Amino acid sequence: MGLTGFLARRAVRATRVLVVAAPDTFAIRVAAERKIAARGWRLASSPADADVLLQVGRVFGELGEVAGRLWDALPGPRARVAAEVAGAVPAALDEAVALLLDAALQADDAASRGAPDVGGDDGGMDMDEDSGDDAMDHGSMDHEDTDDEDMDHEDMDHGDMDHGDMDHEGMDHSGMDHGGMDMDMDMSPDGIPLAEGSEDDRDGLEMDVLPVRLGPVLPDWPAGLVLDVTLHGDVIMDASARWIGTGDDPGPEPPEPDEFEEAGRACDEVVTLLSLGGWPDGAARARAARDAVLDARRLDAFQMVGDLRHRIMRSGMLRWSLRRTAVIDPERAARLGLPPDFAGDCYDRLLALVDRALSLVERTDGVHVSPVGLDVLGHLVLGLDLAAARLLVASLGAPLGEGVRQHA
Amino acid sequence: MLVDIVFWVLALLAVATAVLVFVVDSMARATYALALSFVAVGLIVLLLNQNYAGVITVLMMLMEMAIMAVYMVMFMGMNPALMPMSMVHSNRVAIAVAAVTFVLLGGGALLVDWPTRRGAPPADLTAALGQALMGPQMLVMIAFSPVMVATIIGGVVLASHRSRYDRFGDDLDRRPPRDPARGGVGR
Amino acid sequence: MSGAVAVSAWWTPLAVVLLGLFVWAAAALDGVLTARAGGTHRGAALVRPVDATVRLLRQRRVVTLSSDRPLWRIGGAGLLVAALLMLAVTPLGHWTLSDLDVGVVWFNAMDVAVWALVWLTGWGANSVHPLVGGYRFLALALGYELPLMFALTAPPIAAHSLDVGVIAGAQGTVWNVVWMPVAFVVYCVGVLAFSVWGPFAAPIEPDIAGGVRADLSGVDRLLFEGGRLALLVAGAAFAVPMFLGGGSGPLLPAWAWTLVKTAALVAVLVWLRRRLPVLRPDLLLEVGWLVLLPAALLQDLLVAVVAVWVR
Repeated sequence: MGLTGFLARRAVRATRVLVVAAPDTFAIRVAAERKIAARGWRLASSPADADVLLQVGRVFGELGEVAGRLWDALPGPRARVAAEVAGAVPAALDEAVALLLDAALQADDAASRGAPDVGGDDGGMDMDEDSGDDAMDHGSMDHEDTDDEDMDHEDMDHGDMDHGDMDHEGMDHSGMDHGGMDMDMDMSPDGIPLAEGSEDDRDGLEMDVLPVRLGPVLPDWPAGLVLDVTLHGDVIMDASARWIGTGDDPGPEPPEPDEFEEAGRACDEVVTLLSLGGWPDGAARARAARDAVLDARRLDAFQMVGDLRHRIMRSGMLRWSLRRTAVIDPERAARLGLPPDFAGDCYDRLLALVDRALSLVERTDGVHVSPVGLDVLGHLVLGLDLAAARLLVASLGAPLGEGVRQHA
Repeated sequence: MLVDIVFWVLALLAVATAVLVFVVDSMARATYALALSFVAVGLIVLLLNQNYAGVITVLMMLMEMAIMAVYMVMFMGMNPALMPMSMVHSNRVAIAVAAVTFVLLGGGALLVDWPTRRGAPPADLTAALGQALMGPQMLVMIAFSPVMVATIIGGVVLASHRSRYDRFGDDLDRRPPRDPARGGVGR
Repeated sequence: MSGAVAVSAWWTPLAVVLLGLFVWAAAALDGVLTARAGGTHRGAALVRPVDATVRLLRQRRVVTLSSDRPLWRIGGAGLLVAALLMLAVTPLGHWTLSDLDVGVVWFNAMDVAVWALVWLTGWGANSVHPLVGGYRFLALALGYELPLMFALTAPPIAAHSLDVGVIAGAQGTVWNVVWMPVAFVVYCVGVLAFSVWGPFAAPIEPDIAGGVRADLSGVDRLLFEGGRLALLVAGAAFAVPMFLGGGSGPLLPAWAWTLVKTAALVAVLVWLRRRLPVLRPDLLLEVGWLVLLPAALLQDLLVAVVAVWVR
């Protein structure tokens, strides 16, 4: 087992973790991120990229189902661990390492994953009732060579990152339209009907319509937020936002956030916006500031945020990239009940977030930002493409942040 | 000897992938089979020592097939799934015409009494080919290309759904222009 | 000196090994810079590419429903092949694997192949985020390809030849980068763009869950990521004979200078990822057509005037 074990240990050093966080679990999630970074691991951007699924907070109910689907989507070798409180994170990560290094366990896991049940609308596949054989060819599903090394499994969906119409097993498909070809009008390859075109597009093109669910698990996304959008191409033409359900028992009330945590949240919002704005180094600096303030090193954090503000002001490229993106006019902001400093474009809101973080770190501003309803979000993202919509959600910061216990 | 083997392999590849174009169940596969066929022909041209013509053929065909696949998806809604489809129209006439053309050209290539080469090939084949093809009209040919590009761009602008008046208002004085998404240079 | 000497095809494994070493070095440098930005320990970053490779090789491959499997896999794996084919016409000092007299056009053909490959990786997966990533790449490609083609034309105009070895030799003491800097900048922009690197990484950004690579795992992901870095290295290697004087320089032999210059340019390109934010394709499209393309054309005009005048 020498070479295999050695290789496994080396592989584990580069693990990527997919974090499934319940809403309103800022402290635990940040603790998890810090522990992950301290080990030299990184966060995964999609389930196909992940080795470890870390459930943070109380992940039950609908979110629990999502976590289950994400777990199915992880290619092996994989490990699933949970941490309900911040103190449980290191133990959970150690357990993940042990699971990943357990060759027998991973081999069993691989063997037990055959083609999952498609169910529902088969669209022309014949499913034998008493077929218990995993390796049977289920119509249009293919299997690669099924030796232990690279046994593929059908990726049934991508958690809730890109979810097709809810009636199916979460299959998503590229936009398609029938055009003028003499094809069978009822085409549903593998049980997924083809998308229809629609005329009322933002740019006057006839784009295919695709319902997609953004969230609750996406990189740099408010944990537990679900945004069901209808995409025309990549432009959002219809949106509705909600918090995902986490089961009936809300669990113990989390303690009131202290001032350090408030400042940390503000820094975290800056991290998210800079990361989505495409500046990972800036995001790393903001992350360092967040960690500093959460460790009660106020002076360091103040210096770092101030330095970051300087760099943002100096960066012409960042300004060029974010200017006039996802603009909210003042009248629209007033109509939707948003505070006036949300008007403007993403760059203005970025500066506002940085200033808020700075003042919270400095302890001079005790103003709480009042939460904003999610129906506002649904209105705001209409007509934006996916990139701009993500920037908008990130730039709104606190009202959508996890300080809002509005979920069911 | 090696050249012969390479030629026959490429020739078979070109014909096989051309047949695949009509056989496969997906437009994207048909497009890329066509691309492979054209690339094989481009490589055969390379074997004829026409380096520039061969490499340009490969370049153009790769670019064109990549774009054609995108247009296929756009207009005919091709998803990656393989759906049985019939992509041929009036195939009997087409097969007849193709067979006749093949017999004519193939027969011509084999049966014509090709003249023997006089002298040696010139040192710079590409330049010689260019001179022979375009000769005194070189300047006209070079001037053609920007004119064609300008025409294409002009056509696209004319066909565009939104004109200057939609963007800048009736008096062309609204700044910033009303666009659903802004561009990069602030026009 | 003019032209490079073609060596036998048996030297190809050496080219592959050199490419692999440079890819590893580029990945390690990127890891070190990331670690420095994140404030974490830097030492482990040197070995991280090996760890990441082992992890990806151990991972199983993901298969999506109704994906076009052959085209999807070809898209990911083809990037590495395109990079190797680019290197086939790039001289190492005086030696080259293929002394094609239209080497510049061959390089151009290979970078056009990247269009098809990245789009296939995005579309073939039958999934929303890769599809959005693939089309973002097309939007970027429309912006950078023409300027890149015109930038590639400038050195051949000056050297009166499309042969890469001849272009390298014709530069003498004044390298092309000195008097055609616009072409060099536009070329570097093109290299960054077809490697989906740095400011042109919109197709793989986290805001679309990793974009084109959202459904890649295991060996497919390894080939895709390795292919991206290989394209970056191949583009940088090609810039050396085109703009940086080939193997010319005092003291060291030509092949050593080529390697040194390539390494320097690869380091700069990797570092650029830290300095420039990822730019959105709808912004870059206008920049490509209204700024880069006219600039490249003007540069070509300048070079052509000089070339005719000097002759």
